[in-house]
Formats: sequence, C-alpha cells, structure tokens
Amino acid sequence: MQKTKHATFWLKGLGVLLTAMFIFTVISRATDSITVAKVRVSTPISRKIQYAISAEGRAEKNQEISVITQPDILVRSVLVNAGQRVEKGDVLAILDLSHLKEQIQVVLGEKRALELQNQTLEQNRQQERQSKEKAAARAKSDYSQLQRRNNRSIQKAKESLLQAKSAYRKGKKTFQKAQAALKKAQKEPENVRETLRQRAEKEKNALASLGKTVSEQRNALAELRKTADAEEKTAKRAIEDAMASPVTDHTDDINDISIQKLSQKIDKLQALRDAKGRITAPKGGVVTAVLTGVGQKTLDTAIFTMTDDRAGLKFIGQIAPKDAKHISAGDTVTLKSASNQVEVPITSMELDENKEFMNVTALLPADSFSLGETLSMNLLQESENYPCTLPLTALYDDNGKKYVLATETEDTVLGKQQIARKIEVKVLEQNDSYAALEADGIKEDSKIITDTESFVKAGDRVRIIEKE
Amino acid sequence: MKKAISIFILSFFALLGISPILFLAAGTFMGNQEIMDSIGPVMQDQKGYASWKLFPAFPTMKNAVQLFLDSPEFFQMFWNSVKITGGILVGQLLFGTPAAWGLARYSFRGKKFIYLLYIAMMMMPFQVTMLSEYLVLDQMHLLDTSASIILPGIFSTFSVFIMYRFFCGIPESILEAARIDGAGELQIFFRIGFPLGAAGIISALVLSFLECWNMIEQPMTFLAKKNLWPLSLFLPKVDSGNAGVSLCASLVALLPAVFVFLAGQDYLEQGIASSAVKE
Repeated sequence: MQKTKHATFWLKGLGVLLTAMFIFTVISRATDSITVAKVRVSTPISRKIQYAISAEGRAEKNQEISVITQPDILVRSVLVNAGQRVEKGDVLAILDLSHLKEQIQVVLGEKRALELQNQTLEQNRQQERQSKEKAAARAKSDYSQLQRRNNRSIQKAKESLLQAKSAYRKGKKTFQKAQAALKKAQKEPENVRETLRQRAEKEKNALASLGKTVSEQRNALAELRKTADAEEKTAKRAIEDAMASPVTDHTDDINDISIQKLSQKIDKLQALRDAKGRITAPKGGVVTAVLTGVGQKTLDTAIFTMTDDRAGLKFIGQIAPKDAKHISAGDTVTLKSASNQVEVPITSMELDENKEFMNVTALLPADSFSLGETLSMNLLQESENYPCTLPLTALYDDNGKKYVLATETEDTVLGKQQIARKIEVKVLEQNDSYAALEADGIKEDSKIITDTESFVKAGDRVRIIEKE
Repeated sequence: MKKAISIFILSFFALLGISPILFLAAGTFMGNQEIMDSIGPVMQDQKGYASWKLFPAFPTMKNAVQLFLDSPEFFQMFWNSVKITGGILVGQLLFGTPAAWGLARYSFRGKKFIYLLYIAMMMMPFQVTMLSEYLVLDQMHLLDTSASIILPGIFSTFSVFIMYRFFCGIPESILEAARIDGAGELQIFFRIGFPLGAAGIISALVLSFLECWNMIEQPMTFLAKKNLWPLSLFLPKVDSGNAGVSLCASLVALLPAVFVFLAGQDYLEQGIASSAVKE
C-alpha cells in the first residue's frame, strides 16, 4: 500500500511535468510563429534594365559674340541696354569724334617718329659702310708696301751672306796654301820657317774673322725674316678688321612692324571717324551685356556682348554622374516645356566646373522654344537582356561583397522549414529598382528573399508570405 | 561512532554520485560567460583547469526562458521521445508480457532453445544487430519512421527476461486451483498472472523506459528526418553560445526519467533482485 502511494505520488509529478511541457510547447510554438521572419520571395526574372534619366534646364543662347572697337577713346553715348534686341547695323554706341581725331593724330605722330628714326638709321649705316671700305683699302695698300720692303731687305741680306761665304772660302784656300808651304820648308833655315809660320798664323786669324762675318750675316738674315713675318701678320689683321661685317641691328625692322601696326590702327580709326564714331551691331541678336558707359574710355576688350540669331538656342541640363554612364552624345532625348515638346539628339556632354554633375547639351530646332524657357529632359535607356534580374531590395552588402538570400526547404527538427541561404553575386548592372546579377548559385526556380518584415541573416528560419 | 563514519563515507559517495546533477542545476542558472569562464579550458582551449561552482555568481533565468519560450525544437524532440518511449512500453506490455508468461508457465518443445536464444539476444550490443536491423527495416520500408525505433524496441528481450523471472515465481498451485475452478488460460493470465507479476512488469517497464529515453544509436542510425529525432539528440554540439541552454535542456530531459525511476523504484529493486536469481 505504501509502495503504491509512493509510486502514485511520483507518477502525478510526471503528469504535472508532461502537462507543463505541453503548455510550454504551445507557448514556444506561438512565440516561434511570431519571431520567425516573414519574407516575400521572388524567382529571378529575365528582363532588360531600364534607366529613366531626367533633368531640368533652360533654353539658352547657343552662341554669344562680342563687339570690339579701338581702345582708349571716349564714349559720347550708349544707345542700347542689356536684353535689348538689335538688328545688324543698328548703332550701339557713339564715340567722341574730336577725341577720336586726336587719337588719330597721336598715332600718326608715333608713326612719323618711327619713320624718321628708320631714315636716320639708314644714313648712319651707309656712312659706316663707306668708312669700313676705305680702311680696308688702306690696310691692303700698307700690307703690299710692307711686303715689298721686307722682300728687298731680305734679298740684300742674302747677297751679303753669299759674299761673306765666298770670302771665307777664299781665305780658307789661302790658309791651306800657307800651311802647305810651311810643311815643305822643313829643311829651310829657321828664319824662313819663322816667316812662313807667321804668315800661316796671319791667314788663320783672317779665316776666323771671315767665319765670324758669315755667322753674323746668317743671324742678321734670320732676324730680318722674323721681323718681316710679324709685320705682315699685323698688316693682315688690319685688313681683316677693316673688312669685318658691321654689328647686326634690327631696330629698323622692329620699327617697320610697329609702323605697319600703327598704319592698321590709323586705318581703323579713320574708318571709325568716317562713320562719325558710330559702333554698330555686327549681327542681329539680343544685347546680353553693356561693358562700357558714357564718359568712359573704350576698353581693349569687348564693349558689348550679344547673341547671334543665326546660331539659334540650345538646352543645357545637369544629370548626376551615376546617370551619365547610361547616356552619351547622339542619344535622342525628349525636351518638354509647358507649350511644346521635341525630340533632339544630345550634342555634347561634359563635367561642370565643380566636376559634380554632367552638363548635357542639345541644340534646339528653330522656333521651338524661346530664350530662357524652362525645359524638362527625359530619356529612357534600356540595357541588354539579362537572364537573372532581381529587385534591389533582394541585394545585401557585406563589406563590398554583394549577396542575396535564397530560401531553401530544409528538413529540420520542426519538420520541413524554409531556411535563408547566402548566395554571393556579382552585380552586372542596376538601376533604382532592379539589378542584373551573375551567380552560379541562383537557378531559374530559386526563391530569393526580396522583402522581409524583420532582420534576416544566413541560416535563419523564415516564413514565406503567400502572394495575395 | 562506527555508524557515523559509515554515514559520512556513504554521504560522500552519494554526493559524488549526484554531483553531475548538481552541476547541471547550477549551470542552468548561469550565464554563458560564467559557464565559459568555468569550463573554458575544456571547451575553448583556454589555459588552466576547468572549475565549477555550486552556486552561480550571477543567477539568471535567461537559459530557462530561452529553452521554454524560444526553443520549439526542444519540445518537438521531447514529444518525439515520449512517442517512441511510450510506443515501446505499450508494445512491450502487449507482446512482451504474454511472451514472458508463455515461456514461464508453459512447457513446449524447444522452450529451452528459445530461452537461450532470448539470453543470447539480450547479450548482443546494438552494434552487432544494427546492420541486420537496418536491412530488415529497409525491406519493410520503415526507415525514417518512428516505427523503425519503436518496433525493435517492442521486441526487446531484456524486458521479457525480467518479467519471465517474476512469472516463474508464481506458485503452480494457484494456477492449478484456478484451472480446477474453471478459469481459462486467458483468464488465468489476466486475473492471476498479471496482478501477481505486476511488480516484474513495472520494473521491466521502468528499466525499458530508462533505456528508451536515453537511446542515441538507434535514432542516429535509422532516422534521417530530424523532425523524428528524440530528445537525446538535442544540441549535439555545445559551444559558448548555447552552453547555458544545453545545461538547462539536459536538466529538463532528466526530469521524466527521474520521475519514472522514483515511481518505479520499489518495483525496480525487486526486478533487479529477481533477474539476479540463478535459475
């Protein structure tokens, strides 16, 4: 009996435990149904990626021209204002005629001064040329005289040397005879031999004197030649100096250029004077800026800027750089205003000054829009057809690596469950809504998570919301 | 004095015996960080030695809340275990009890051989019969169903062996008297054999419950579908992120076995004693 009571107690405990476990089973299931992320899925779709590019802009003048006149002339009156329409030949401003004539006189004076300077330069150059020719002729003459004189002196020295050499040879023979006579007179008395000896000694001394004379003559000839060479060298240099070219001087050429410019300026000033100081519009258009005023002097830059009627209007709009890669010059865009709509090709694309936006320019057909009118530009571009595209909401980023989460049916403890699996992808192209992807792990029937009500990561269980 | 020493020594070993349960209980109320600080050297290759505290430094109910409110998998496996264990126990009651009664009370040709076969089968570990069981279950198309665990469990020889011992202990004279009074064999089984062998039947069922509740190899081998897995396969991988929940789950998984064990404790002692008696 005790045994049964004991067992009953613990069996009741087991019953309570099983009841509690049942209750917690229900609660945990309910909690799980709340916490499991509910997701919407989509299979990859084959489509083209479309880019709707739009921009706002204005109809602006296509070309601006400047009106230029001669500088530093007083403006007597300005007849137009900025924004005013003018026709070709309309008077824009009138210059002070007396000041204009003064300017002409001043310029003429400058021109005359340069011409006189050139004349003076020419005269000086002629005189210098004549002086040089005279000096060269004198130097040549001096050189010839010197050459002749030196030749004569050398000739005389040569002759003296020859005479000395001849005397030496005679003295030598006489000396040899005296010596021979002395040798023969060995048997002669002493006094005879003494006489012969003295005679031979005398001849010997005479020969030595002659030899010295020959040597002196030879030295004198060499010295004379040396002196003659030095003198002739100096004379040659004098000729070269006299015949040297005069120093190059382009002052007159420079003056000629200045004179030519001044002549042109004079022509223009005179034309302006002939037009009685009137500055006229070169083409029909609208004056965009007046850069001078009454009482001021004209500038060396433009005094008016204006549009050119013949150049027409152009549209300039700005698009974001991300859109710029989908559009290029030549693409046809639709331009729309409140009153008109045209399709025109893009003529150019270039970055703006800050390099933040891309300026898109398109020429506008004549009479399509008016200057300053606000226009909207629209363009729909399509990519090639991609087999795998998904909404951008399906795309996740992990430190630059793009991936999507696909649901896979997995056999879990709770039965067949949908599990989020990570598939790394390469984004080939994307617009604001869709991305074209390349991934080996994505099949045609893959269910990719495109929307989720709570955060989902790879490995999480998810619940697919059925399409309504 | 002698008695006190005996009590002290026995208490020491008793504490040593239940220390794993105490550790489980303490760990249930610890945070993951505290658990890892304690057993990090074992779990995460930290330096030093693992340690354990009987009382958490910062008690928390987080693990219990997570297990009971945010782990439907645990309850799925719990009820799988209940289904498998319950199915086996009911099956053993239906088929094992008559088998044990027949072996114990009737004489027929080949009885000894069948009994020896039962003993031999009881001795064989699961690894020996696994392949043949697998092939048979496959032929019967029962793989990946709860029946692949329940059916072999129903015909387990161990419970028959326990009950056989109890049925043998019923005096033959009582059965003879019943027969003389006109009772049929079924009446004798249900009216006399069943009540008199109840202790054996209960102890056999308690032992079977403990075996079935902790079964691991059979589900791992025969069940590929995770939704059929029993609780013994919950959280096979314990890491720093789920250590607390794992300890809590282990403690909860232990409770049914404890209740069943305590309920059948007295009968179990008889059953063990009975199986130890030499024939």
